[in-house]
Order: sequence, then C-alpha cells, then structure tokens
Amino acid sequence: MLVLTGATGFFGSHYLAAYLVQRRHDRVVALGRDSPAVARERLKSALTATRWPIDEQHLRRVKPVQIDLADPGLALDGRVYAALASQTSRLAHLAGLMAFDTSPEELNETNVVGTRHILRLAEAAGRHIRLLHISTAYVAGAGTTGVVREAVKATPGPSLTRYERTKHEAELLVRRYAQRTGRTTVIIRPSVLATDSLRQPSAPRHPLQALGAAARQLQLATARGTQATPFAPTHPVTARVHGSPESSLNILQVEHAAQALVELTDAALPHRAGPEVIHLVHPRGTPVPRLLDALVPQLPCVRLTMAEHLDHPTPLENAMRRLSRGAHLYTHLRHTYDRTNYHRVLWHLPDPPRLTHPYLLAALGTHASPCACRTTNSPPLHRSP
Amino acid sequence: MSDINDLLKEALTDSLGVPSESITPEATFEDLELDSLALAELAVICEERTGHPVGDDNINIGSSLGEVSAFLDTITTPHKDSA
Repeated sequence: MLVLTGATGFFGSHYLAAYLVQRRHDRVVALGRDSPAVARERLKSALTATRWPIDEQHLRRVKPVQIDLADPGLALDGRVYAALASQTSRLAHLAGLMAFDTSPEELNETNVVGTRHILRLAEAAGRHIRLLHISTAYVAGAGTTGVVREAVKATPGPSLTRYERTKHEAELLVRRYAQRTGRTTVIIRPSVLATDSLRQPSAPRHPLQALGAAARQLQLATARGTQATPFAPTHPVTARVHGSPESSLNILQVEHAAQALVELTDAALPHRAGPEVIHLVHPRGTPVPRLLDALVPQLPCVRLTMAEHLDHPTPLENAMRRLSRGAHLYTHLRHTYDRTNYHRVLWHLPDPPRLTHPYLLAALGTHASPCACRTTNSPPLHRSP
Repeated sequence: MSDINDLLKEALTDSLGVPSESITPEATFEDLELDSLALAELAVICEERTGHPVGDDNINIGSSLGEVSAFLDTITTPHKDSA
C-alpha cells in the first residue's frame, strides 16, 4: 500500500491524482495534519483541481490519517502506528515547507525533523519498503554556475537559503537511512513546478502563480496611486530586478513531474548501496528575462530591466523585492542539471514540451491589469522564440 | 441489537470515511473493506470516547457492527448491582 505525506500540496495532489487514475486497484493512506473529515474535503478540492479525471470512486480509495510530523511517533497510537507500518510498501514523503521568509526553527521542524520521523516509520515497515523522498533541485549551494549532479553532497557548504540548507540536511538523513538499512530509497529533486491549467481559488498554489499574484498586487498599488503607496507613477517607470540577464530558472510542468513520480513508485531500480538520486527537471532552463517578459501584461506601468548590482533601490524596487518573497535569490543562477539517472530509469518517458510564452503567461495567471500611466505597454525584455 | 450506537456510527463515517448507507448491524468490517489499520484506529477512537479499554478480540475483521455496538453498550452502561 502507498502511504504519502503532502497529498494536499501542489505536487502531492498531482501525484496522487495521477496514481489513483493509473493504479486502479491500489489503496492509499494520506498522512496529514487535518482531521479525517477536513482532510477528505481538502483532498477532494486539491485532486479535482488537477487535469486528472478524479471522481468519488477514486477519492474513496484514499484514507486520510491525522498525524503530527513533529512527534517521533507521528502522534499515532502505538497500535495504529504498528498497523500503518506493517501495511506500508511504498512511502512517498512530499510534505515540506518551502518558504524564504520564515524562521529557521519552523523550516527545520518540517523539513528536517519531519523527515527524521518519516524515516522512523520507514524503518518500522517491512524490509521491502520503497522510500521516495521529495527534495528539490535547488540544493546546489551558493555557487551560481555549473552542472548540478544527481548525488547527495557530503558536506553542506554555503547555502543560498535556509530552505535549501534544511532540504540538504534532510537528504543527508535519507542517505544515512539508505546506507544503514540497504532498503530501496529514491531521492527525487524536482525543480520549480508549474501548470498552465486554470486554477480554482481553493487549489494549492504553485510558485509561478504566487509570483503572478504578487505582480498583480504591485500593479494595483501603482494604479491606485494613493498616498499609502510609496510610488504612484503617472508615467511608465523603470524598475531594476536584481539579477543576471544570463540567469535561468528550471521550470517543469507538474503533470510531467507527477507522471515521472508515479513511474518511480514502482519502476525497476538498479541495486545500489545508497539512495538513487533523480532530477525531475526540464531539459532546458527558462531564461529569467523571458519570465519577466511574461509579467509585462500584469505590470504595464513598469518597465523591468535586470541589474547585476542593485545600488540605492527605489521604493518600487524594494516593494518588488518584498513581494517576490525570495524569488530574487534565484535570479543570479545559471545552473544546468544532470539527468543521467533520470534517463537510465525513466528512459521511456518523452521529454516535456518546451515552455512557450503563452504557457508562462498562463502559469503566471497573466491578464491585462488596469494602468494609470500614459502608455499601455512596456517593451519586452526578451523576444520569445 | 438493531441500532448501531451513535459513537460507532460517527467514528465510521467521520473518521474512517465509511458511507452511512453501508452501516447496518449485519455488516462486518470485512464487508466495509476496513483493514487492520482502520480497525486499530477505530479501537483507539472508541477507547478515547468511552474511557474504557477495547481489546483486539472485541473488534476484529469478522465482527459485525451489531456485535461491536453491543460490546460498546456493555462497557459504557453503568453496572447495576443485583442486591
């Protein structure tokens, strides 16, 4: 039986929906912090927001179990814990906290301590259990260039963010578990996951959607032009985005990532002493200027440029940085991602389609915004192919 | 016993997601497709709400809801002295 955490999250809901539709007879236990009645509602809302045709029959195969990841025994009664462990043959740990403006303690509790407690459950299960641990492609450290390998770095080194540091610490715990127990373990590293599907307000959000919402918020503030806003342009203004024009983000369609994870749940894996590390990334990075181009319709009053050094930021630039909630930390990166293990195990999966300009517009939730300035559009930074 | 007591009904529908129309005195946990994990959860819920221990023998896969309901009635009804 598949047991998973994070089922109501963005990636988790797509994975679970794909799994339920394709593995027609399997039952699933969804571990989460909500009571079963609340969890069932949230699962329904999240799963039906995906592109998979989810109906009541599918939802009935999911059993929510309330847990507390902060508790070593997951706050379960000993009998329930034992029964859960004995039935678990696949354990997918997707729960995690992705935030850049939260306390180190909170990040540590979810991403490191939570993983430790899930590993404890994995150890209590039978020796044929397969553990699928969801990490992130952004565990490469503070370096801005180079190829990120599909391997766990032995030493942490400087990190770009506290989030990244906790995800790396969790990977080290998982690696120790795999080496100690010899059990099948896969560390999966997705990049930035997104969808161009229209989202219901109650559906779990993805990072590009959050970025688009921040741009809309900024545009509304500039359009309103009240004294409460630190800037009220009557002319188009230029704002610098701190970062390199050469930088790129790796953005992957969540539907592709979910399909890959469904395959990895059962796929034959080569025997190895440690964990298998697999990158779920797009073969081509998305240049950051192209992403900013897709924000242009939402920010018609603002002409965006990129600057390697941001001296004396304006109130608008400070507001942009605040609203981006940490995204600015990634606008200097020029990484490429190794996909050797991915190709070896998932050789039969076709590559995902290219991320076109219309895709990015849809993923950002872009639509024309009201404009108080004299011109209606800013020139694009980068012409999409 | 013809009625399934409220505690059992609520635990089956709210916590374990059993459709209310499936809940009849004759139905066994096997009929309801509840596995050992669900039975362990049910035992814990019954213990928490009644304040009495519920042994594994009293709730097993072949038990009917009527039997478990009768058992819950027994442990929750105050004992009357015959004297």
